[in-house]
Amino acid sequence: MVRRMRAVVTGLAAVALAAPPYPPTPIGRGPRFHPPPAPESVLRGEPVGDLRCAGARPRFGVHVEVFARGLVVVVPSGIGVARPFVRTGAFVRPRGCTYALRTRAPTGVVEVARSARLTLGDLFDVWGQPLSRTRLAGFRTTQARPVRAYVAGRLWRGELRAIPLTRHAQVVLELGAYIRPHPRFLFPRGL
Amino acid sequence: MTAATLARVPRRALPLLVAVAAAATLAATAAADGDPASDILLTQNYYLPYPEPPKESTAPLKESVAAAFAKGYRVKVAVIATKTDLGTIPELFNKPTQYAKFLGSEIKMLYVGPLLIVMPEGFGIWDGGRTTTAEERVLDSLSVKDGSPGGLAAAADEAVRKLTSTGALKSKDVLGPTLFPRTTLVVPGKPVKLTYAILEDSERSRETVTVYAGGKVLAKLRSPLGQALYGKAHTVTWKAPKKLPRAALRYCVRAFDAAGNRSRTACVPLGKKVG
Repeated sequence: MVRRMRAVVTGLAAVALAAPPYPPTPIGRGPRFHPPPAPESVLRGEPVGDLRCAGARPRFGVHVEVFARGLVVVVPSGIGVARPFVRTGAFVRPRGCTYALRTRAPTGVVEVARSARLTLGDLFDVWGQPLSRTRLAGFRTTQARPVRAYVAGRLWRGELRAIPLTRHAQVVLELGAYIRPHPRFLFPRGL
Repeated sequence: MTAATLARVPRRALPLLVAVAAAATLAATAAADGDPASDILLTQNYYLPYPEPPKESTAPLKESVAAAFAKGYRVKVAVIATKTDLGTIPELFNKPTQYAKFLGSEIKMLYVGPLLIVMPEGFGIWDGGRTTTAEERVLDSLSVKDGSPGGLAAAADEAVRKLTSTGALKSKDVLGPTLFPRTTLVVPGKPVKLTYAILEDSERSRETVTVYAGGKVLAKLRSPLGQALYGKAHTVTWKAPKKLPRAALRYCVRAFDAAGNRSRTACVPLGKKVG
């Protein structure tokens, strides 16, 4: 019995060491998992609530991950970027004004103007996607199984739209299956 | 394992057993997105480290990847120079083989084909769990001599060129295109531009566009097999009748890649301009 237990322990240890530290989550397929970056009004540079489309300003990074039904929803490049802009592969290069929140790559890194005090609700407003307890971009759920948010890996118990977008915040939004949220993200230098 | 069995486990083995069980549980429940390459590689075929190396060191890689596609192969390349390039999973830095499998699993719903990883430690290759013996043979003959971002891009370029010239990138395309049709307004008697984006890993597709009024087909338009880049929207023009039907208008798109894989049919409503 002892020998068999040793074999089991050794086998489990080998499996645990060989496996990657975090199993990957597939990126979803279809338009709902790849929402467009901006409504027509943002592309035209019109105000979104108190937010105005303006010129260059210093920014810091916030990382936002969105999961629905156990799959990744892509946070696209071009959120908060008005026309004209240049799309090069996966990236968007603004040639006109941008909002206090913007994305230039589809990596979940949101560039936030340093002077602004913004929340997750502002991001979804500029993105043109719904965010509430029962709605997350193109997905819906019930009050009984609401959308969950995690900030720095911890469950956020307040209003989702009120999550502050502070420097290097790591925000994870989930609808449906639980996906263990990462507590942090390594931001590129300069953000 | 029952309590009785556990009771017979030697006391020395218990802490290890507990640790292993905890690690296995963590591995089973933890998950990840957050590595920038997974998002970038959906719509382009190379991921370059941040900050991007000088143009002269990345241009050859872009050319060699384009040349591989021109020959009918598919390949995606991630050049990972620092832990920052891995975002939320820095622990996979300098583990190219593990990261290749990880990244391949993240993008498997949109790309199954040769995926090359280049890190200072060396190369990693993954093809959706299919054999990579031919690719590995080529990569074994190469090495990463310079771990700087530019050096890694040069190593990636050399690897893609060799993989292409030896025919090692041969890999069956098994995924169909994904479509993103955009809604638009129909003006009676005027041409209507029906616009849609295509995400297709072989970068070639042909499409069928059908315009409906309720359940009735108003038009069927076909486009020949051609280039399909996600960033470049496709447009077909339909001349709307002078008198629009009362039923709701919509159009549906279906795409086929060069290997014959089909997309799901994607439909969007069409608005009617009145007055």
